[in-house]
Amino acid sequence: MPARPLHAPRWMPLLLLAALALPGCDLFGANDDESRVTTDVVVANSGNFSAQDGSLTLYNPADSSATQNDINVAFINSLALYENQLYVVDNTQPNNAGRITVFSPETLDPVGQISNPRPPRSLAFPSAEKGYVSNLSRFDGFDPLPSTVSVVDLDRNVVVDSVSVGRSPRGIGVAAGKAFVANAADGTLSVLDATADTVRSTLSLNCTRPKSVFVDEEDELAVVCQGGGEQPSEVLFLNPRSTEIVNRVTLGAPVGSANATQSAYYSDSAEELYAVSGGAFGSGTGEIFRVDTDANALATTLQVPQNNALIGISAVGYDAVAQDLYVTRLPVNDSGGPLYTANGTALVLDRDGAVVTRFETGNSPGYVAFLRDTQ
Amino acid sequence: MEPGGLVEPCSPRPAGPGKRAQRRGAGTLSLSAQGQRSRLRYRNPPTRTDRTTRTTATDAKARLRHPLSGLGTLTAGTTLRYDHASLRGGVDRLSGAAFADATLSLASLQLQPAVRIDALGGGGAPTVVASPRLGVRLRPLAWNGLTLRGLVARAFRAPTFNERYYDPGGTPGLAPEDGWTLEGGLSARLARPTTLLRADATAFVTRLTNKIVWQPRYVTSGVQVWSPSNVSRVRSRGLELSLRARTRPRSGLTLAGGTVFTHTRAENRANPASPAHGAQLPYVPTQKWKLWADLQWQNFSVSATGRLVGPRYYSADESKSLPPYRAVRLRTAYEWSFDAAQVALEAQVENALNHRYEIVRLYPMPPRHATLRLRVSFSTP
Repeated sequence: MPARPLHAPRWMPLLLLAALALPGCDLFGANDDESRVTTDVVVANSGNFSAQDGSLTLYNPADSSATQNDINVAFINSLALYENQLYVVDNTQPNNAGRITVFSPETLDPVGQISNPRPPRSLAFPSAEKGYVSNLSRFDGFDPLPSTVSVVDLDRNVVVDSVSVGRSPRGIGVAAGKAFVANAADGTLSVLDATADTVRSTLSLNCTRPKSVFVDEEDELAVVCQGGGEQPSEVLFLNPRSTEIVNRVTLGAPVGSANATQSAYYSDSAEELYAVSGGAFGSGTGEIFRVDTDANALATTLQVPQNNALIGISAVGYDAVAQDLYVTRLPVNDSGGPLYTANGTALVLDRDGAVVTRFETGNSPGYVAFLRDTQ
Repeated sequence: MEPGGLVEPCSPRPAGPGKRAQRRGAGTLSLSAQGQRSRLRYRNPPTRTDRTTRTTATDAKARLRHPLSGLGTLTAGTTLRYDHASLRGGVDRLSGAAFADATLSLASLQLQPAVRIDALGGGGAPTVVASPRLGVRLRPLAWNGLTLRGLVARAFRAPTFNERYYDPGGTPGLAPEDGWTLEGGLSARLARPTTLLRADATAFVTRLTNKIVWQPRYVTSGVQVWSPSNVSRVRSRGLELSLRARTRPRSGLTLAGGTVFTHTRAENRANPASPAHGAQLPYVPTQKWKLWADLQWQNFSVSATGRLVGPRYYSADESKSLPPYRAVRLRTAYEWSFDAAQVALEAQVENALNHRYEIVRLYPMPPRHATLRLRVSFSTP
């Protein structure tokens, strides 16, 4: 009987592959074990305008330590993280102007600065070379100056153009080659051609005071409308290509921040949008709305824990990695209203809204962002 | 305070005070009246703010001082004031006050009872408030150089016209400050023919409701305005120590100097749940120290004044403060006297050490700078 040639079993290569993969060998240049961790939670403390004591609080969830970093700006309106840079949007400059300072997230050293002719509200990035900045319209309908979006050349860090939009522009979302600017005072969205920097159309939303705009994992546009009066707060989902509204999710109580800063946060990892009813002058209820952006439905309504030393909710953020919800609150003043000249408090809540821990922030916390790394 | 504000004040045009004093018997009656008109233009080009405010202020005062047959003196008086400003559609206020105070000497004890009645009109029902005061001075020893002092008084202060109607920031509904103050202290005085030395120590406690405090008020995101508001309860406690000396070593030459140290703890006591409760009021220094020296030779004088001011918090919870500062002022002057007038030429150097400091955060005070002033005073026959 002739000897049969020795053949390796057909499943041998699969076994070899599995053996190599189990200890973490990276055959294809990708590490299947790589996971994201939150290295720091950045709380931007808006500060007091006159004292220009805006600051950043860095909270390390690993050891629950918080450090204050004075950056001496007048009033921080928002933060933006892009291409491993931290953009701090503030109203520091005189003559009713503002600026955006670019920080290295690792060292918190400033690495660039953009002068903006108007006080900036928020920043979005249509491309790696371009930024859009919505500009504050003071006193909304009473400001005689046109409401604009600044166009920033990110290579040179200079404003190169401005685009007139609806009144009181706030959040900006970028999708399908367009930028969608929420015009809070008009209840509209200005749709910009993100290449030509021109307004293509203006969409009427039939909601009260649209303020925050996000692009979710389904590439839908999520617009948070503040509500007020007889109209409830809502989250509108739009198809950015057809610009049609595909869903309206009613929240209820007016959405807002006690500091008129961050009232909503979108977590792409969790596919959840968080909006707070945090107004401190009787308009807020202390509710935190969790919206499932996959199902386009209100998932849960939480209530911020009661504390007679704290008032309102001034910012919100969700760390999907640790499943921690961050809300910042202001101290009370003499009459029980918000005190804007003292340090605030950040509460870390679990998914049921119970307090896990808390830490002190700087004066008037107004925005939460997360610095992440991979392991 | 709005950013980029540009204030162009125009010089007020005082109508000039008129004053007359007449002696009738042993008493003295003083009458005075004055008027002032001012124009303030406020421009802030970026916000297209351009408004002009005209204000008118007039007042008349009468004061009678009369001896009480060796027992002491009695002083009584009245003030009537009218203010008008072209703000918020035109606002005005009529106010009046009457006061009486006496000094009664009973051997080593001196009593100083007084009462002031304020009546405020405009913007609602008139308010009438009586503020009593009692001061006591006692010389416990045969040596007249030591005096014990005490004072208890109602501390009432109506908001000024500016605090209520200044634009931007005025608070029309501002309530008056009200409270009580208690003071006690001692003075030691040593007098020689050519030398005078005096030391004072005073401790004080004040409890106020609705104390008026200027602080930033939130308007909208990124927009805040300095505005006065009432802090419902404030307690101030403190100690003031002073030492003054003056000597004339030779004819025409006077040397003087002194020092004052003040420690003040002014606490917000409004809301125990607030981090401001128990904290020092913003911009109120806990410690101040002043030191001065003065030399006068014939018509020539030269003086130096130094101030050291401790840290001042600019946050309500004592979390942030401005560093202490020192400031030195030098002054020299020469005076000529004529039959009908006195002429004085005065040179002054402020911040002589050229120290960089801020009284309000981010508003640096001027560096070393000098002023030269010529003053002419006319004598009444």
